[in-house]
Amino acid sequence: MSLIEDFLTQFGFSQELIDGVFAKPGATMPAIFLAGGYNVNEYYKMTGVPAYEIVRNARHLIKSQMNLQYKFKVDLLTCLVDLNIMSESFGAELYYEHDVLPMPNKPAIESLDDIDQLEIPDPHKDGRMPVIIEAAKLYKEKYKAKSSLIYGGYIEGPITASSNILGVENFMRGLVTNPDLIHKLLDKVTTALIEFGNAQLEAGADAIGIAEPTASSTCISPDFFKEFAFPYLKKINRKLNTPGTLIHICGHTQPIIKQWIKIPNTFIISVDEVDLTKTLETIGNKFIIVAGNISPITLLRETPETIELITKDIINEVGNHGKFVLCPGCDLAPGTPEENIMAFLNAGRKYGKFPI
Amino acid sequence: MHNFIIAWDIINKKIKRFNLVGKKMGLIENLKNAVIDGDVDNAARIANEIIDRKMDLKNAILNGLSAGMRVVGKKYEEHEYFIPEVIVSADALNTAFNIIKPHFKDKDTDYKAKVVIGVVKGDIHEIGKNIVAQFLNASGYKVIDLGRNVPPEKFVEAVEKYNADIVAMSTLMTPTLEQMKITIEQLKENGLRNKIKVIIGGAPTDQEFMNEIGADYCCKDANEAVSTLDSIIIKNEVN
Repeated sequence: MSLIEDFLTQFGFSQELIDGVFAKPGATMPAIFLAGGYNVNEYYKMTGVPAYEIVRNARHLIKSQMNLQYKFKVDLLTCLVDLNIMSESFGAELYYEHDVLPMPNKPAIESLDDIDQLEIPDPHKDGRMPVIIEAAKLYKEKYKAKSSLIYGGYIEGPITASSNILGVENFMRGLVTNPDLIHKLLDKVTTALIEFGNAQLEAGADAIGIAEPTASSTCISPDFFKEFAFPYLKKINRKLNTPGTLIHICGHTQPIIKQWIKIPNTFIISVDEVDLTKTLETIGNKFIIVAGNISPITLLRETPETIELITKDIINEVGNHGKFVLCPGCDLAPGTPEENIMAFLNAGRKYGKFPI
Repeated sequence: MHNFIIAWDIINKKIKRFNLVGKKMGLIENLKNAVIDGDVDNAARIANEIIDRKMDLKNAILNGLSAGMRVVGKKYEEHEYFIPEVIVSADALNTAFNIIKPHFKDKDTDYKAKVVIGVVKGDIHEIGKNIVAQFLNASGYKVIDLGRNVPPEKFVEAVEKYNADIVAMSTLMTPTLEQMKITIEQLKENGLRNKIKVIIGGAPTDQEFMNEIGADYCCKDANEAVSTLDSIIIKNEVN
């Protein structure tokens, strides 16, 4: 156990958090957030700084993230923004909005035949990568000493980034019709993702989160996950200068859990639509923390009372198993009522005291 | 002996005719399978052969393309197919449909109904919408596709311009759900709401949300969209 505790301490886990992860009597089930869209929208409403400026400015960006921490006192925060950072750095065009995160407009290349035109971007120069790196640096300089927070930088997963570089529809088509060129693209993108992740770690991020929703079984088959996602996620985790990563895949993922947990150096899996009991069973004795899995749509649309009940159900289902933290299944939706987020966190604090 | 020869001749002709029918049926079945397999080249070859043989094109569309796409939809529902497989099947369907379409003497009245479809303002995820549009197309609907990031006024404009029967809206994201409500309000303001049916879809939509915004139907996938619209037509809810 102490080896794993040492491992967690390396990331900045407090003793309280570690006790929570191991379900020690007296400790509380921890709660973490993956949030970007919500934070940026809230910060815009609070300050009037438009979203397109927030996501291009490290100072605003880190403030928008820290704001969530101040408000809700969560233990771990990933600096998730939008999932177009890598594609934009490769040359894709985005729509920038005043109140929400940017969205893809035009992919970097129109066809797989143009792969050779793609140049691996420089994390310190291209797109918004320098902003994300600067945010990690600001966190280290300004906030790290003052808070118990664990700050995770983030990269998109290879499938998610590549599909935005080529356009999702073309990418999906290519998986079937031109797997060799898709592998070539994934290989190139993986190199860029590793450089970007390492630059964030170097700048001050405590850990790295990888957001890979497009590899879920909502989008691609478990066989394709094995062939096209697994090898590159494995390479990323091996080459990042960190002992472990959080991998977030939202959507339907039950059929890929077995593969997912085989990715070396994965220490947190952030899940969405899964059966928690089955998932924890599949993980067995391995040291992998499951983060899950209240739906962000529930948080957006239900009442605080319902949210309390759903959170209580999650807590009761997991019980004293340990290696589990409460977390929304995906990025909090902009406009999620504050009382709903509080209901979720308070339910964790109320019902999540070990032993359950 | 003479009688025998005549009888033989008749039998022979019958066999030939049977073979021809069999082969024709086989071609439609092959077209269906080309769609299911997402085999674009084969779908194109078969579609051309169907034209050359002057076969019944309506039959080819309904029992070949549309039937194939229904199987694809079912396989998607049952998690046997995923988005990549559905996209290549839709490619095969589109390729064959575009070959057949110019030969298909369609009048406006040949369509079951006119559908204006689009992804609402603020959202650019259009794979699901494209698949629904293709399913509807292959099932005999006239589809006016407004694309993605479509503002409410564009929906209104298109309903008026094309005298549409149905408005179909989709979004994959939660923040853009509001746009569906705004679109319905604008249809009301322009006096169009009672003339049309509104159908919505996309991951964050459900029956509860449908009721909340005053839409008529909410469908979870392309197959359901087709069967829902077909049921409206049968009930004569659309003129």
